[in-house]
Amino acid sequence: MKRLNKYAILGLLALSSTVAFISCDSDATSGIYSQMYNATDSQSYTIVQMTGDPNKGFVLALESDGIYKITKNSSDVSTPTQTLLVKGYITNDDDDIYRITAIYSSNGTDLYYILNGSDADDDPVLYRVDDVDSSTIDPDLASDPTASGATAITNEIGVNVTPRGFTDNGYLYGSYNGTSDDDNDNAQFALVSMDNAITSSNTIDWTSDGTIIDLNDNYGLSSVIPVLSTTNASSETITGDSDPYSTNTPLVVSVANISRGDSDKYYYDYYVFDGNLKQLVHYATEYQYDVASVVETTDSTASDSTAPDPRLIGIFTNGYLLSMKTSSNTINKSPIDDDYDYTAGNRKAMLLIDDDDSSYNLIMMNEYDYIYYYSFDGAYTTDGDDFDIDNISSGWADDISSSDEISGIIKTDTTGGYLVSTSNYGFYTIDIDDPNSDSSSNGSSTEGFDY
Amino acid sequence: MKKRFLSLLVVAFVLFSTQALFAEDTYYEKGDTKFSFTTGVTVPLYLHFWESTSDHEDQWNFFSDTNIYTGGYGAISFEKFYSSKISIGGEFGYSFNYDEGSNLYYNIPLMAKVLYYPIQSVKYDGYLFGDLGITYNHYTDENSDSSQGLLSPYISMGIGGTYYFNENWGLGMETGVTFIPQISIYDDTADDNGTFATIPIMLKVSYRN
Repeated sequence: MKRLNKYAILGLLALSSTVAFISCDSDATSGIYSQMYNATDSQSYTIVQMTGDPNKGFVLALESDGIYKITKNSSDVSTPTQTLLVKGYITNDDDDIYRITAIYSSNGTDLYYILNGSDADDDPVLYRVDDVDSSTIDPDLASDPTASGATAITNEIGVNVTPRGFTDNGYLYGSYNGTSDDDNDNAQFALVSMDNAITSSNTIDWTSDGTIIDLNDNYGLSSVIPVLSTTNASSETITGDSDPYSTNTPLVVSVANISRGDSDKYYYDYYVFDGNLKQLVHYATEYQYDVASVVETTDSTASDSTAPDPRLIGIFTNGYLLSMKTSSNTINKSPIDDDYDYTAGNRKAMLLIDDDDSSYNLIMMNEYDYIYYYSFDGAYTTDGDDFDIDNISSGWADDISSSDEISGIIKTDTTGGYLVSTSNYGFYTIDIDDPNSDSSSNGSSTEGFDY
Repeated sequence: MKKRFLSLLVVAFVLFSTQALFAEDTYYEKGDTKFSFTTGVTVPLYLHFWESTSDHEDQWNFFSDTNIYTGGYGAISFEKFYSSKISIGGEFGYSFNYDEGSNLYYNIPLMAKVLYYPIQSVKYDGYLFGDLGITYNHYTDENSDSSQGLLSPYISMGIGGTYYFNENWGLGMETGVTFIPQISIYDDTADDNGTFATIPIMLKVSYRN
């Protein structure tokens, strides 16, 4: 009996060692530790939007935590400071939580934001703060937003329209469902200038003050990406007098469409409008990915210089590059890096920057932890149909704390960008020309959103 | 604080061990057995991926940077003395941790144990231990409704001591470090291989015979 026990134990030891070393994966989809490592509370601090002239300071909103203004020290752009506008959950007396769904500031001193009611049936309300620098806004916007320094522009913003947000150049947009209750009428895209919205008397008449664009039978507007000039992005930010719909600012709209094909599968359609809201491209696709970022570029092969063929290149949130040729109503897609698994992880933000119409930088951020960059050269083929990329370099952007949850990105100019990480309330800048240099990342959990 | 606690334990154990080396008396005899029930907490020590991928970098993340909370562990174990100071046995347990996304990670280890008892008397004993075995790991991602499990090695080592209220029953403490390497041989998951290490701090009820 003793001999049996002895051999049984030795056998268990040997079996354990052998089986353990080989390992048996019962579901070869992704590693357990990878999931554990990425798992953070992504629901707590979601950046709704960042806006404003980054050289003067910009404002951002965290979905469940309030509104903040970030300003840069004039002497050191790498050490931003922050001014707290509204902090804490926005609730009413009944402790219903209101969500900030969109925010806009043209210059970092004025501010518009939309609060959604705690009930899905509540109409969202548009608020304005005239001067955030001298404002005496009560940090507690809780019980009565109108008594805390903000002015309610309208409480009927949601009539016939589901507001979606602000474009970078000063327009409020949403999906318009006309006067019908039929969801399929939600196919229309509504756009109104903030200038018009301001002068309206406590309501926005989208049909007279704004523009309603029919987007065929689609509905479920996903996003709108205004394309800023590639040569001077900061000055392109609306100044009030400029025309945001010049031919240099085409508007990219992506629409989630579930009206065709498999009913439980989302399809995205992409539209490009010119400065006069003339539709240039409508591209129906099965891609289930949003357009994350688009830059305008020039087509050196254009034969008629008086009627340049607008060309855009962009990036899908799955990491595929798209080139949009407006004259032929086409969007081509191709991966930047065949060896890279773009579908791994969740890309929360991607910023594509056009250096000089022939070289580009792409910064991708995973939903949780990582910042990855690509630099590449790109050019249209001689026939103008395809966009070829070459000389790709890539790597991690160093010195970003791996425990930070990265939630947002904003471009500052053509050679730089801000990255914002909210899990540790750190604020980072990155030099796109040298993204992994030690000096390029100046983030610190004690700066920026250290509250 | 954790480092200081561990350091004190090690120093105390070395002192007792040194004293015990010069002691001739032993309490245990070949053939003695011991059953134990263990419960306590597991403090995440580090999580280390061996490769950099699009989802993670090859770097060490300690304690809170693992994004994993302190969890719990419970086990039953058996050991039999093959000399007056060395026992061999087995342990079967259950360990769990929640991560910051409220996702549950648990593992069910089955391991062989070797224990060395330099300190032993009627009232107390002190020991070093090493465990080697396998564990079934399982992780549920609440956000994506995905879950998966895999087998992986389980390695643990540490020190412990028990105070005996009578000849048979005792209450003790145990701590050390546990390593769980994730070793996948499949191409699509091999990049996620890494090691998760914890510091177990355990209470142990033992019955010796």
